[in-house]
Amino acid sequence: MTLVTTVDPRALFQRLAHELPHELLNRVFVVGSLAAACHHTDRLKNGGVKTKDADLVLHPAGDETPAQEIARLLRARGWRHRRLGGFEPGTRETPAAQLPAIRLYPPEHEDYFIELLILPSGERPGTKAWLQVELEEGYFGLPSFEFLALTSYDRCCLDGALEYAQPSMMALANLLSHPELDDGPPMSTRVANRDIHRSSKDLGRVLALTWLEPRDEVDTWSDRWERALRVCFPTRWSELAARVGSGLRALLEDIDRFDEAWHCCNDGLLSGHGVTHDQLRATADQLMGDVIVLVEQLARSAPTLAS
Amino acid sequence: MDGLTSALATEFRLAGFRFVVQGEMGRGSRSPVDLASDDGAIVIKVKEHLPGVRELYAAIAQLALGSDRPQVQRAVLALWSPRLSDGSTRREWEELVGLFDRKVRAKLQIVAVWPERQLLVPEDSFTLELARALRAVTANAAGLRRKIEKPHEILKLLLLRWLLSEGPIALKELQDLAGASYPTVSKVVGDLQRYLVRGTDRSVALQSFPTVPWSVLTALSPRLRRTTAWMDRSGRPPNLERLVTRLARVREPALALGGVLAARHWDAEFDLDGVPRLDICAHAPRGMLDLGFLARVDPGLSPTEDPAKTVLVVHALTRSSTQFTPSGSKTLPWADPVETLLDLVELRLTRQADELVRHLRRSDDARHHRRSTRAVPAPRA
Repeated sequence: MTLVTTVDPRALFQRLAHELPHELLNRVFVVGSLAAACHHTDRLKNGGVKTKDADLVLHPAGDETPAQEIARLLRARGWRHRRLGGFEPGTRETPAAQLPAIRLYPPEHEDYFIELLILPSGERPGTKAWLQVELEEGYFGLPSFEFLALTSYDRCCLDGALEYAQPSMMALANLLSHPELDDGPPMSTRVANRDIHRSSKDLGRVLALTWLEPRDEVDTWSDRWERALRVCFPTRWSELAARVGSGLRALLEDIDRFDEAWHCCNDGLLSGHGVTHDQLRATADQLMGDVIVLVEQLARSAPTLAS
Repeated sequence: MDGLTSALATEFRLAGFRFVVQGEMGRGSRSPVDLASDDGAIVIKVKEHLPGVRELYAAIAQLALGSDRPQVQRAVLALWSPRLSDGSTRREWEELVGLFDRKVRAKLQIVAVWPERQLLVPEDSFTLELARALRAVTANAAGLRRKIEKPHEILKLLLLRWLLSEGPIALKELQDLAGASYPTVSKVVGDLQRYLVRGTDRSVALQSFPTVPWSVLTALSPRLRRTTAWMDRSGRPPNLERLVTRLARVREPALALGGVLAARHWDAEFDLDGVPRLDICAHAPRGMLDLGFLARVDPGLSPTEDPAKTVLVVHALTRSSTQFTPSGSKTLPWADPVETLLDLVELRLTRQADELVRHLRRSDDARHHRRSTRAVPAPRA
């Protein structure tokens, strides 16, 4: 869904839960800006948030057959491909990473679209391969990301229907996904007429989620993060915990990139709150002191494999 | 953050100074500098009684590290009474700073102040102001304690006993509780003569509310108590309950809850809706209060002079005995009723302060509570 106006994220979420095939509701959950906006509806200003799409994560992890069945079911129920310029399904020989993603409109309107992702299997580090999925019209790819598994931990549920990722888990996934600032070109999609680097946007999202969350709730994040890391990355958790703050520290050191992050916050979840640079930096300081430092200390005190 | 740094930050009136919290400079858990302007253009490292050349070199290295950000234009080493001569300080400074590259060297500056002389490199309006502030702070610490703080602590202790109808107190005990000398106690007793009744056993008690001394005390109180006001820089709604919980974990310095919360403890009928801010009493028997614990309580706290933004106010208590009243194992104790009254007056809640005085004089509750939980006074420092 590409919106030029803001919408009530809870209303959109409920609509999505109603329009998805019922048998899929326990096989998917929502991540990204819609999940965050839904969780913090009461604190959003300017009527809501501008979301690009509803990112749906399929679970369980990495299994091609169920993922293919889900995609085929949606198509059979009339969900339609979002066709932008250059849309071209792949073939069996097309490398998975070059396949188009599955982005679908509901059967009867184009008010939003869903984009399908899949949980990675295993905890090994590195870029995750796209899963190749065959539909009637050709081959498509389901992207996955190294730390997406964290978003499946301790999910929230709205009205007992469709689940979504905990903001604290999305924050953790974003922090780990960017242990340093990316030094390549900015994203192809601009944010409010400005070129933005992916790491700035994602780390800015961490700060926005922190700012919106009540302080005593953020105090629980260090325990939640530890549990989630141990569950999702049992052999790597301490290595990951030790570097959980490195990207955010790099962002705080870089005035221009911090400004990008601030810009994204003020165009997104924090729109209308008038959060200043200093306020966002203070939020980062609080996240560092209240959560990140504790998690890093846990990592340092964890026994190593050799001991 | 040591006491001199926090006192300097309070006293130094150049616009835009705020504390650098731990980790803020992004280099591990300790910051190499102590103070920074809001725009990050000026950073200051503060050292008191620097022992020798090796410590001077270490301080210069940390200062250089703290200057390693594009926005830093001036990085100043502020020294109070280093144990080096001004000549040695200048020589060692120039020798080490000369080794840095041009861009770092251009930022590094030193303000070293001794009681009878000073060294400023460069000498400009800023370094002169910093030198003046260093002198003012250190003179205040010594002078105030001798001349003003102790006499007012003695007055507060006498007033506390009067409020709670606890009867006369021996002069020796008054000395111990205040951490004052006999001549100081004797002078105060002489000055308060018209309000006091003396016992034959060298004890004294107030016989009426000391209106004139009290009005002097309330006028001087923010300065005597080194009151500092703090805001949450993140701009988020304050959660005072959370702040109290985190303050209760602080071991050093000893802290107590004052202000409106304490007033409600001392008078269950205290007439005020809501809590405008948290008032905390921090024990500082040696005079200087190290406010570094605030960064651990909440890294987003920063000093403010705007009452509308204030969420927390910290007052130093400089006598030997705290007179705090325990409230439970995991919560902060209560500041005594006199500290509480001073907080209410600072909040301009004078009607409520007057009512609290009347309540305490009438009521047995506070007195019984203090008798059952009275702390043993600390020995005189």
